[in-house]
Amino acid sequence: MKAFLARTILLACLLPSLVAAQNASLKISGDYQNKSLSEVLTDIEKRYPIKIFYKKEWLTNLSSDVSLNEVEISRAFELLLQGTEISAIQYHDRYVVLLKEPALTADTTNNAGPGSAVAVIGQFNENTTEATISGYIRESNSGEGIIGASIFIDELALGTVTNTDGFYSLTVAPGEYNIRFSAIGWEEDNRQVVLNESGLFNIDMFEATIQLSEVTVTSEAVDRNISSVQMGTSRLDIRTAQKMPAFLGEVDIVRGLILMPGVSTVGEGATGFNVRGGSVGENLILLDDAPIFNSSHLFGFFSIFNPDLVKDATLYRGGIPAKFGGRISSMLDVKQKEGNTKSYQVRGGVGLISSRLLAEGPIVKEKGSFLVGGRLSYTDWILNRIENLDIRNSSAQFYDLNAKVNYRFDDKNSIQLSSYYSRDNFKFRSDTTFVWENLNAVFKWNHLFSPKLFSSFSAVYSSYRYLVEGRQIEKDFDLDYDITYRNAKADFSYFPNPNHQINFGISAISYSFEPGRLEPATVNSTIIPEVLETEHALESAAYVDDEFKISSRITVNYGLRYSLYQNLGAAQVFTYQEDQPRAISTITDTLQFASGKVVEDYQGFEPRLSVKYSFYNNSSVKLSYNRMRQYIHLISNTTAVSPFDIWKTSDMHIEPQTGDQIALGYFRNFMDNSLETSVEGFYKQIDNATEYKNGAELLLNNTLEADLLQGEGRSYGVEFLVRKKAGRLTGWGSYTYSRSERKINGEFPEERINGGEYFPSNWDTPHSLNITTNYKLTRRYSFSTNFTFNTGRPLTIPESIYQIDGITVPNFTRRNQARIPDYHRLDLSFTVDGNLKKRKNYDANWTFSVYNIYGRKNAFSVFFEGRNGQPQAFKLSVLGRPFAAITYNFKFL
Amino acid sequence: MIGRWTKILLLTLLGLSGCIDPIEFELDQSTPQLVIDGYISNEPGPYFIRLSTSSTETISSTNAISGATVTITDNTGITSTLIELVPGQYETIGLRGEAGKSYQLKVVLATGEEFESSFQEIPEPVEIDSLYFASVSKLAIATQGSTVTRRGVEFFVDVKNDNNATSFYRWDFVSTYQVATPFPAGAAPTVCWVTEEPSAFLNIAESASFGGSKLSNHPIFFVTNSLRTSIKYSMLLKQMAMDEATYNFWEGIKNLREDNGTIFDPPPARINGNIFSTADPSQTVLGFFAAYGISEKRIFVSREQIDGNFPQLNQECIVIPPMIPPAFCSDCRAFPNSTAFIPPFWE
Repeated sequence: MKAFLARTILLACLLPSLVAAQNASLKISGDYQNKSLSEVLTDIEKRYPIKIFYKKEWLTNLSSDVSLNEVEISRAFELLLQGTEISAIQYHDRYVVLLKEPALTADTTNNAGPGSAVAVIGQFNENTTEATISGYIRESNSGEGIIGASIFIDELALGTVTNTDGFYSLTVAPGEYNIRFSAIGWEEDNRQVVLNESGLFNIDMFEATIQLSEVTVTSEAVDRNISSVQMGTSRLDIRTAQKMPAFLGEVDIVRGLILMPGVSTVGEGATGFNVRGGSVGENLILLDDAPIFNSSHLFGFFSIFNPDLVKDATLYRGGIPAKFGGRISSMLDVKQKEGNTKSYQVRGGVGLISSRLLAEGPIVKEKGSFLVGGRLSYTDWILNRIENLDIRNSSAQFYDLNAKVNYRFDDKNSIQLSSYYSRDNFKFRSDTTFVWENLNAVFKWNHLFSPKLFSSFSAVYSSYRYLVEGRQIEKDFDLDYDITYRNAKADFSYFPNPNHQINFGISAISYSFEPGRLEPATVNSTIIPEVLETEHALESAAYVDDEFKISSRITVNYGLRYSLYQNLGAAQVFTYQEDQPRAISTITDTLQFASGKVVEDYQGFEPRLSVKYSFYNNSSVKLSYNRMRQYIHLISNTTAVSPFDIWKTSDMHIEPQTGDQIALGYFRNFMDNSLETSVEGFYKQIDNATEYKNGAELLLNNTLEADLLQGEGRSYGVEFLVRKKAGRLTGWGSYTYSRSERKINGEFPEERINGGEYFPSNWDTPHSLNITTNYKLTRRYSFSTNFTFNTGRPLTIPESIYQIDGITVPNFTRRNQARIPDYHRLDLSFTVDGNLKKRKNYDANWTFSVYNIYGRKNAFSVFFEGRNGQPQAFKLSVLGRPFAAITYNFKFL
Repeated sequence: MIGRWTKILLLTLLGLSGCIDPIEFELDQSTPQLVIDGYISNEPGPYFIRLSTSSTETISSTNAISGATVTITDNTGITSTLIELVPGQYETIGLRGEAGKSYQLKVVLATGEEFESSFQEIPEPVEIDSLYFASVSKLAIATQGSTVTRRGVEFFVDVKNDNNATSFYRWDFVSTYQVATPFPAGAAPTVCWVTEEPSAFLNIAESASFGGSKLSNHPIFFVTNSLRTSIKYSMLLKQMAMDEATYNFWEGIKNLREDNGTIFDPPPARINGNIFSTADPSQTVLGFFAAYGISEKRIFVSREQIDGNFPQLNQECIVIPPMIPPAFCSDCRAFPNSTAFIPPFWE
């Protein structure tokens, strides 16, 4: 295959000389005076057995002024194109390729480069009825695969997009085609391809922003949002996130995603996010296929994703493909860079909170690469400024490390090994230390069975751990918590013909949760050891889906996932009196299960369906339905999730959650696809949503089921998005109206919340508006703003007071009947990019940002004080003033 | 526990920029709600039941509910009626609670509305294994951003529940301490004893969820070095054993009192009790009718057993004429709740 490719390249290079050598037997006649050039070319194509390749926009306003009479074909084009910047080359006797000259940067000496000449794949054979063109689309400078790049054949009005490895495959009838390769942020690449037989066709794309080309710089032209059947997705690449104003200068892809429609958070320092009315624990966060159990540093002010290493992040909040399962609300797929296969690079950044360093480069040029990166924080200087001895004696620190190795054995086989480690360390008053860690590793083998069958085999390990070390005299203790996740899976993509793309696969996950181990740290400690039993579970799944292009207008993606969950021993399970609410006092028996024995199993189908119907006017309507099943639960009874919350497996008492969602959306693009708009409405129903009895203590609780309640959840809403992707001004605005409610109506009065009626969930924020813009002042200077508004989250407030045994007690209303004040904030940033020399070995940029520029004192929390009278409400604002920051980023090539 | 930690951490992290402002909430005019509060125990009566209403202002005697018929019925069907001696406060006559028996409270308001509690069983009292004290220093916040070290004596309790009865406890105590008359005048006694009960004191703990029956080093109360411990101090500790539901009620109140409302706190909620309207069980009735198995233990602490300096006491008594020193300077009976008669238990 490689030899074949080389031949193709060679052919392309030799083309101009071939033209000269052509036998010019064909002669052209025609009166082309005062005709537009495009008319002329259409006429020639119609009347003669010639195929002419060109970009239509080149011919705008160009006309012909000649009359031809039996003129040799090459001379005819010379005459026709006289006085224009366009030249023609001919090859065989059937093809004429127009080239716009001079192509300033198009590097036509190799296969890479927009506007390269005709490529021929395979040998012409009349009997061939079908040919598959497939390959990888990669970044020209680093060799990394581009995710979601679009491949579109003009003549057939047919296309596809690359998968997460940058691979695509299209099967069509043999022929000559104009194929457009495009991806956001990359220059569109038009290729004339003569497809005779199945073959590989890899494309390297150039960065749109650096390219000094007079060929239209198309950082858009991707009409994916209307042409793809997928709805309810938000994609953010790191380059967009880097332009946005960042809190304390720390670029954060998760904070960027929170500005997308349908995504919200309960507070500025809260871990995680809420998607379409779901809880934080209902989001599956994958970093290169490894699940992340706690995605936050410093309690939630920063995400654990090092911006230098992130390639892009896609959030699926509806119409979730059958490939994904295990959480009912959303799927956040964060892809890390692969490492540069072409040259060595060092990049990094210095900020107020942390500094970053990354090195990447080839192991074997063009074949293998490595990437190592890290980030280290230094926040103690902030603590040292606080006039409190306890706090000055405290320290906070986090760091993370990433490493990745890639190797391409050949065009059919590649492997990838990636690993991530993060650690937060918080020492309070020199007697208590809090540590939390993420560690994961992924091994992945991509194999191409044939151009039509792509496969990927992965082994995934992920763990989360926290540790609290208390060092008070005689009460010193260590509290340890551990999660271990192991997953083996095989995923296949089969491209039988251009109208079908079939994905299928299997997966097996093993969970092992150690929900708490409290131990005295010294012999003098009076702490009584307490070790909770480890929970084991196995989750197996198989899925298949088919993306079927029924016609050029209708695409359907239908799929089915089947999951089987087994809660395994060794376990000790309590049984409770049937006619009483579960409590320690109603335990009747203890069941013992041996190691590996099934304690309880749950299973079920998860149907998925997405339908797209395109209209002619650059718009489409999409409908989706998905059912998701979730077998593990994030247990938290606080408003925001904290690093110390625990995950629990479904068991005999706690049932898995299921979520059903339907969504309907209308998508329309304007201005040559550079302006995207969409409206999506959704309704989601959740069964077995987990809530907590009032006053539940969740830590080290071996009868947790007695403190948990399960009920229903529902959420619905409508999301509007306008996104401008090209031009000097880019950005997006989103508005969401949504509601999220819960209903806990247990058998006994103690098991009901708000009398068993629907009440707003803690993250129910009906109105949410986000506007993010980036304005490019010049090529080097750009200015960004970010405005965000949302309704205050629900709150339970006291309506009166009463006295019990001499103690004044606030009398609270039913749960979540009031709201904290509305939240809004404006951030600005200004970026100065490095010089624009194309060949340089050092690049740098500065970012100046101000967070909360008008110093809005947003309520972080609301509390009530007043021992003897009606409690007075107070709001605590933690980021209630402008925060300025400066960040320096550099890159050595 | 976790909530408390994260709160500390969070406030620490944000200490540099946090600011607190009052805000107002618009509330629908709430109707006053009925509050029923009281208990029965194995100790001799009388037992008190208080009826009142909730208020949006301060709680005063105007919140008392008079004229109700209050009865307590035991599981054998014997009913005793309580009498109202103080407005809103109803007390038993002759009723003596017994461990192992269950009791139900019934209240019929003057309006005819009827309320009753669930049956509450008095648990077996759990013996206080040991009550002891230690001299300790505690950091306290003096003004914002600065701390002060207070020296004093802290009392602890160990509970060993061998017979595996209930393991949910609340503690209350009565302090009695000796005071001297600084400048005795005439026939005034030189020594008095002051008896105090802490106000709004709520101290609860359970040993059920921490692996068993033993509770060790549970702190009861911290007494700062002061007049109270300047000669001799005695604490009478009452340990109230209760069932899980009662404990959960108190725990709910405790959490509300400690709640800072951060996003790392459980959201505050109404504390539901065990008293319901017979006509409409969904009607909100605040408060709880509890049944406690009470055990007691007394401890004495002398000044010599306490480390650290005592602040200059009786400074108020040294005044420049013509100002007159407070009455207690010449007669210790002038201290509030003071008597010159030696209490029978005093050692």
